[in-house]
This record gives sequence, C-alpha cells and structure tokens, in this order.
Amino acid sequence: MAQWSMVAVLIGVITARLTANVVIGWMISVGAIIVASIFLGRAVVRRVGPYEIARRTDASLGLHAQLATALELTDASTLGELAELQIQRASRTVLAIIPSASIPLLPRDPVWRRTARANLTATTVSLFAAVLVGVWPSAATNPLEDTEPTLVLADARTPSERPAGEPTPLGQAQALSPGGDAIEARTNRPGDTGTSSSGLIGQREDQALPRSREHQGDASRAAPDAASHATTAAQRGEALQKLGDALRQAQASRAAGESLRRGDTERAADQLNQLADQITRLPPSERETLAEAFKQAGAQTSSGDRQVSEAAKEAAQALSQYKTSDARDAIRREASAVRQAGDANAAERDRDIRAQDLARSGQTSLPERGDSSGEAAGGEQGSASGDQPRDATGQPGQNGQAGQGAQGRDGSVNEGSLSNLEQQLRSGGLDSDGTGSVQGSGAGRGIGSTSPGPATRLDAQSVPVTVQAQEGDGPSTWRPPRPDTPLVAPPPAPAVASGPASNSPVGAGPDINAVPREYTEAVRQYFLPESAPPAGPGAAASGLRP
Amino acid sequence: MASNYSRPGTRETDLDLFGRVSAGIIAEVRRVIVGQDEVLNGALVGLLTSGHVLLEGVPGLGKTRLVRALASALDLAYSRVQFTPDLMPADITGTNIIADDPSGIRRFRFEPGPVFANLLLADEVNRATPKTQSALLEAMAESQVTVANIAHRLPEPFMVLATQNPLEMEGTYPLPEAQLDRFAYKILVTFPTLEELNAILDLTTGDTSPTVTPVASAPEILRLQSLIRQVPMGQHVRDYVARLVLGTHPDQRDATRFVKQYVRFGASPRAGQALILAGKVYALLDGRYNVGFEDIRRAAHIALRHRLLLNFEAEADGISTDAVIEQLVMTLRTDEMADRGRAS
Repeated sequence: MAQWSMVAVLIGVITARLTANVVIGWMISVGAIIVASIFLGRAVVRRVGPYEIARRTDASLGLHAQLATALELTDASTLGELAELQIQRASRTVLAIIPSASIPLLPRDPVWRRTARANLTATTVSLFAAVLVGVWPSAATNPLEDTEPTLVLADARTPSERPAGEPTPLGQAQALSPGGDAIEARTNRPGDTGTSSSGLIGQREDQALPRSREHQGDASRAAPDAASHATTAAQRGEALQKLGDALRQAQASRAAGESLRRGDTERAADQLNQLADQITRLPPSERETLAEAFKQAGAQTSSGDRQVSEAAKEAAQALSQYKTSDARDAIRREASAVRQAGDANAAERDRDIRAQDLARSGQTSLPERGDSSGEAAGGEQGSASGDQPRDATGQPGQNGQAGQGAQGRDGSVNEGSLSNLEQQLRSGGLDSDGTGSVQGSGAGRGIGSTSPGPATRLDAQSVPVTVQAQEGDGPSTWRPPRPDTPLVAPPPAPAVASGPASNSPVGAGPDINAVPREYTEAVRQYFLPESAPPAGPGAAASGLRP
Repeated sequence: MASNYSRPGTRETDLDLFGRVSAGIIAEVRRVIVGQDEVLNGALVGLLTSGHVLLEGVPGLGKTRLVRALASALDLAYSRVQFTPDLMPADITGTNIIADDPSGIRRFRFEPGPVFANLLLADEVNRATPKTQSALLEAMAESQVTVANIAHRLPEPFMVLATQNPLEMEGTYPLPEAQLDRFAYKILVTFPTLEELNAILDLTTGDTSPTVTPVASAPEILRLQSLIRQVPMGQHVRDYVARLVLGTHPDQRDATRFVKQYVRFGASPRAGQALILAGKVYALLDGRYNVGFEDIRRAAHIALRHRLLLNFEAEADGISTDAVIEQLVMTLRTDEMADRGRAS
C-alpha cells in the first residue's frame, strides 16, 4: 500500500511538471507531506509482537525457525516428547544469543530511528516528491531557452602555428562535420589550388570570415551535435567495457564479456548470438545469474549507448521472467547493438588516425582516399578523367592557369580541396596511411584557376541545354500492351539477324509472347499436343517434350 | 505404539533408534549402491513417512538394485512385480481359487498376490495397462485390496517403489494423474559421475559381492514412522507449505507469472502432506527437532515434480517441472505473517 501511494505521488509530481501547473504542484507537495506523515505515524504506533521477533531472529541468525516454533509450542496445551526437546533447545539458543547481534530484540537505537529506518523508502520518496514540487516554480522554465547558442568556428591556423595539445584542424573539421559550413567557408574556393598551405590560409582568412559569419547559425546548430558526437564515441567505448565487465559475471556470457574486454566486438557479437541460440539449455540458476548480469549491464550502460542498454535491460527482464523467446530476441538485439557500436567506434578511430596523419604532414591538400565503397569509383573516375584538366572544384580546367594538383599520383587530388576532405570525412573516410587508391592516378591533374571566385560547394555547374523540337503528331500511335488498353497493331519487329538464337533479345521486344521462329513449332506442339506429330526418334533426339 | 513414546525416558531411545536405523540403512545400502545420495535420501524419506516412491531413470542406473538393497537392509517382506502389457490385476492383488478345505469341501480361498509384502517393487510400472496400474490405486491409498467384495489388509509397513524409464515411451502407458498423485515422492535417478562410475565398475566386476545386513525390523520402522509425525512444526512454516502448494496453481491470485505462463494444473493437497512429512524427516536427519523453511525447500522437488502438469508453452520453451519448482521456491517469500492476528 505504501509503495503504491508513493508511486501515485510520483506520478502526480511528474504530471505537474509536464503540465506546468503550479497549483497542482503545490497540491501534490502538500499531499506528499501528508502521506509521509501518515506512514511515519503508522510506523511509530506499530507494535512488533514476540512471534515476529522470533521469526526475524530465526531469519537473521539462521536458526531454522527454531525460536518461532518453540514459541508456538509454549502455547500448546499438550506437548510431545520432541516438542519438549525443541523448547529446551530453543531456550538454550536464546541464552546463547548476543543481544546486539540479534537485530529486533534489543536494538540500541531509539524507536523513532528504527521506525524511520524501516520506512526509509516511503519517507525518502515522499520527501523527494515534496522537494521536487517545492522547487517547481524555478524549474518550470525550459532551460534550453536560456542557453546561449554556442558558436564553433574552424581554426584557420596551420598545425605549426597551433600550440601543442590543442586540437588539430581535422579534429575541428571532424567535430564540425555535421554542419560543415565553417570548413566550407574557408577552403572551398576555386583558385585556391596550387598554393602553399600557409599562403592558402593566410590569403583566405579574411575572405572566409564573412562566410563563416553567414553560417553562424549552422555552426551553432552543429556545435551540440559535434559535442554529442565526440562524447558518444568515448561513452560508447566505456559502455562496451561495462557491458563486458557485467557479462563476465555469468558463466554463460563470460566468453562474450572477455571479447568485449579485449575490444573484439565482432567476436563478442557472435558469442552473444550463440548464447541466444543456447538460451533454452541454461539451467534456472544460470538464467538468474545471466539475468542479473544483463540487468547490471543495462543499468551501467544507460548513459553510454542507449541501444546496448535497452537491449540488455530487455534481456534481463525476459530472462528473469523465463520468457525464452523474448530473451533470445533481446540477446540478439544486444549482439547487433554491440556490433554496431564496435563498427562506429572503428570508423571514428579510423577518422582520427587520418586526421592526425594529415595534421602531422601539414598538408592542406588531401590524399584521395579509397574506402571500400569509394575506392573503385574514385579509381575509375580518376582513370577516366585522367587526361582531363580539372581544378580544385572539379570543374573542367579550361579557365585554370596555375593550379598544379601534381599530387595526382598515388591518388592525391588537387591541393586545397578541403571540400573533398569534408565529403570524405562524412563518408567515413580516409585510409589509415593516407595514400589512397592507386587507381586514382591522374585525378586532379590539370590546371586550376588562380582567380578568386565565389565558393561553390559542389563540384558541378549547370549547363543550359537547348533542344530543337516541333509540336505535332508523333510517328506512331503504338503503346506498350496493358490490360486496359485496346489492342493495336504492334510495330514491325526488327529483322532478326541470322545468328544463333541466343543473340536475339528474349522478352525485350514489344510482344512479350514472341517466340523465336525456330522454336515456334516446338512450342505449338507443347501446348497443343493433339496436333503434334507422333513421337519418333527425331522428336526424342530434338530434346523437346512430346 | 505412539503411547510408548510419551513415557519418560523413552524419547532418547526413539531418537537413538532413528539415528541408528537411518545411519545403518544408508551405510548398508552404500555397500551395494555407489553415489545416488539424493535417491537414497528420498527412498529413506518415503520409507519413514510411509509414502510411496516413484523412481525415474534410464535403464542400468541401479534402481532395482537400490530397492532390493533397501529391502535387505530392513528385513522386510519384499516382492517384485515386473510390469508388462499382459499383466492382469489379479496377478498383483491375488485372486480366489477353489481349494479343498480340511473337511474335504471345495471352497474359494483367497490366494494373496505379490502386493502382500512390506516392500513392493513395481518394476517398469508404466509398461502395464491402465487397468493393471489401477489395481495398485487402492493398495497405495488405503493399504488394502478388495477381491470379490472382501477387503484384505496389507501388512504394515507397506511401501511401493515403482520404477519407470523416461526414454522408451513406445509401448508404454503413462501413469494417470490420479496414480501419480498416489506416489508421495518422485525421485530422478541421475547418471553417475566419473568417480562413481569407476567405483561401480570396480564393485560389480570383482569376484566378491557385498552382502547387506538387516538393521531394522518392521516394528522398528513403524516406531520411526510414528516418531516422524511428532516432529513439531511452526505455523508459519505450515503456512509457507500451503502457499507453496497454492502457488503451483495458475488460477490462484498469488501465483507467479511463471506459473501462470507454464503450468496447467497445480499440486494437490497430498503434495502438502508429502512436503511436511519429508521436511520432518530432513529435520531429524539434520539433527533438529523442528521443521524449517530449508527442509521444505529441500523436499519441494521430490514432492511436487510429478504433481505439476505443464502446458504446451512450457514444452515448447523447454521448461521442466523442476524449473518451475525452482522458480517458485526462489520467489515465494517466507516472512509473510501467517498469524497476523497474534502479532502483538
């Protein structure tokens, strides 16, 4: 009853907070204080009888219900022999009991303190609710409304100008990658190619600033995302470690826990999947241990990886309730969450390594990378456009003059193409060695433009196209056959070449029922057997069904 | 018999008798049976509580050997019936035959069957037809058999130890719930460990065969059965037993979600009786004069596992009755006040 009352009070408090109604909040506050007083009063006036004392003493000292049974026997009218023995033994036990070791008999604390301790939960919840409602008016406002927007700008200094310990530009670029406009503002300009790093930055700093201001809104929006992005990686790793520690407590999940401890998320996910498959074979005690491990994991990883935490909690709940199928699904979800978290951490680690390599080399140009998805495409593109001059923005270098982009070998692209860096960082990026794909040789060769122009974010330009056309009747009224259209005469079929039948397109013609001429007779015989000639050696030799 | 125990000075004798007989039975059976501690304790519980025991295990684990050793250690009348599909009820209970009396007149005379013994080994009991199985119902419940409207009392103590094989189900007739409930305890005979198997092989392949010496007689067993019933038990422990039995019923308000999910029918009141009596034996074996919660928990599996009927969902999820009992015992609280009215 007390617990349900406390739950009701808490629900009321939460409702008051959500509805922002101060009156309801104060009413609930007063109600909580009244409820707390009632329970405290009931606890004070409650009496503890000798039977309860005997039972609690038996339970606390492990006396196998000896005292309580003997106490009951003393009330019996007739006693058997064993009952007398039991009473004698209980009497000796009572004399041997140390009062301070027996909690309920002679506690040293005063009554009010014992009762308060006994009702600690109810009292605490009530006081918590009262305090929560008491500070309601000050907490009713939305804290997000008073928060100053945070503006994060990219640092235009070179790595050599930056003090030791300060985050690298790529670190900033990585942090700002969700918004990405700061990077774009200071780098993505045609004509920046072919200049030195310092010159590049020094030349463009004043030009980049207005655009940066122009995109302050975007940057401020990007800042919380970047912060959360940066903290998520660390928290995710910590959550996986905590999950591993928790899983190691159970025998069934110890292998997965060890794998997580070593950072081998793939193996851990596989082992969790195996555990899910074998969940029905676990004895009840092991199930309980496993449920406790998952419960602990869910509690400890709640601030790290929400997906991992929720799957762990669901697994713990299903295991404790002996819902085998639910437990199996939850553990599989946990395995999937572990695998995703591991992949995400690996990708971010890869990005960091590339960023550090780039910062160490002091380049403003970026080696063209080739990851699993972009390698082939980049290489093909590079080889296809190898002879075509391109500037930094990827435009055909017709107006370029001095852009060198000579790092095209080993896959390097034009210098100063930080917009490509941004794209690559977003797409997951750069190789750890930064060399990129050799298939990208030739990309970026050409002459870029030195004339400053407006920054273009994408390497594409629109080209107006003029089409000469004349309005009038079409050359044909034929439509593809549809169920609701009347039949019209199909256009004449193209002449079939006298080559093998496999050369002729099958099913690609206007008539989907078209049959190659040499198969017409066989098809007719197949569908119209009564008109088929008697099967003979020739038919058998043709391989066709009669 | 019980009145003898109320005489001053005899209580220690009874307790000494209990200690001597229980230790002697275990020691004697140990000479031919290796391991199987729980099985031996369960059989002893059945013997001292006058409860029938169902032994379940794969062939070759020594079930029959255990029963024979137990009978030898007790110096009791022992008979064995191998249950087969063509076994008839009269083959167990006995029948009336025509015989000449001393005066030369032919009359019907009752010829007792093998059920008239102190220890009856019903080997592979699930191989007989339900009709023959039912012939044991009256004998197990009321210690008597009725033939031609005449009830014949069975000798005391009377105990049925039945065995069945859980694997070979073809050509068998599973025991009906009514007959299963007559068995006070169901004991699972597990496979021996490596050390136990080594000892068994060494014991059974030598040129000497151990002999079992009787350590107790039928009257002494009856005295011990009476002593067991005198073991005091607190009301709160009895309340715990009642809540444990009720907790196996899915339609009860206090049933756990696990029971509601997997149990079709719960245990009968006989389960409560078996729990308490087994708890008393365990308490005395542990050297205590009263029954504690631990004794009841210890007896829960052997007293409840054959009385729970699981549903299809449990079968699909691979949940056994032992898992249900384990979960129930773990979740059932012991500190609820059975006598709230007397709390002050």
